[in-house]
Amino acid sequence: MAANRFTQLAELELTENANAKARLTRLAGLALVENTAANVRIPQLAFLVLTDPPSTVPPPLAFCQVIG
Amino acid sequence: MSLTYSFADSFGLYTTASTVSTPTPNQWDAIAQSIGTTYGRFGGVGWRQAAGSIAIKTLPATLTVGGMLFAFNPQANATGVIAQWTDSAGTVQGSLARNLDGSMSVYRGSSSANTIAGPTAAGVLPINSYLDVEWQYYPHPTAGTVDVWVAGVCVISASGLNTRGSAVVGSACSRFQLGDSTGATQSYFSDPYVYEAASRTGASGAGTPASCTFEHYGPKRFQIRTGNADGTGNVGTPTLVGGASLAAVTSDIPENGDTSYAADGTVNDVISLAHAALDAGTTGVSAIAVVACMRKDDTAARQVALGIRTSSTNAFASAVPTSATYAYTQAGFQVDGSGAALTPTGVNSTEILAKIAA
Repeated sequence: MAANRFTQLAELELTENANAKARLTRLAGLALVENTAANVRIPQLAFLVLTDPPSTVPPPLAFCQVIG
Repeated sequence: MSLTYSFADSFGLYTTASTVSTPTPNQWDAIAQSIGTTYGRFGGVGWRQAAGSIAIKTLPATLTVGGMLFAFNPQANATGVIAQWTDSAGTVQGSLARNLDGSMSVYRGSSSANTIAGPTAAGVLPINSYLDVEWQYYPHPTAGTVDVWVAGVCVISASGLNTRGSAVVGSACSRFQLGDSTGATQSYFSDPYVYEAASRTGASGAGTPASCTFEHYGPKRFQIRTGNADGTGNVGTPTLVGGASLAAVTSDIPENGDTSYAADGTVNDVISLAHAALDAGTTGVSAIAVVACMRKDDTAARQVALGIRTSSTNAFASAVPTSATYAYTQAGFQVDGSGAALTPTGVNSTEILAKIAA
């Protein structure tokens, strides 16, 4: 993973000097750019565990409830 | 156990008191956004079905005998459908309904004119009370079966029926739905779990439905666990964004997109997380669903395999592709990482895994 994190090396930039006294006036520094792309991003990773018992306080089972 | 995992949810991954994330795409095809902290069991998060609102899920594979288990709490006395099985085209195979007096009936298709089982005794589903409802349904033109349990007690058991609401041969149960698309009854739902029942196994017993003993789950509940520490199975070093630990950035409830996350792009790297123990008093475990919300951030075809790790042995489900926008995926396990039966103690030491597979 660490080797993959730096993937972009900035190009050397050659700029012609207009007065022709020095043809090379700027040599861009080597830039290590951290690669923030090329990944899978995971903000949520979870277990849903189907368990017993359904409750510490079982709900009432009202088969004989009178409706009216 | 011949009941095979198909889909699981508990709604608790999507909300805190102040925020609700959208559990689509993938987790649900569509769901009315009424997920809240006052709708679930035990003071937890649930889904409220208001007038005409439904939750729909296309299952990863067609079920020959569909089984669904959910906790249900009707808020008013009314006649209405509370769950349905449909074929792949969306044609309703069968409907489970609660009647005005709290009894239950099963329709072929979606019309009460085609009642094929029930009604049960009145008051089986009283209002303002959460009860576990379990429904197994075999769509068939002549040999269809219907079995319903409430709080683990069989209230409907019938066979030799025309249960096929769709004439599409072999369409079976491809999608399920909670809620009533037409009625105005407000109800609460928690902990839906869907499975393949394969066939009726076990004796029906005499005097069905009361003594029906076909294999079924009975009352269950979901417990949610996110990572609370690094696991033992980490491979590689993921980039942590928005937090200081792997557990911190992957335990967002609800998921917070690009605010905090773990990022990894190296094939075969594994994220491994330990988690808190199950609640005291947990006496059994039937299944584990590993759920992940994720996206990729480049154009490559990146895949992730979800898994579990027990006693240093990893078990992964098939890798699934990731999309450019956040989406959920889940994988079910009915044995632990080493192939042993699930137990509360074993699950406590089983780690949550996600592997970069491509």
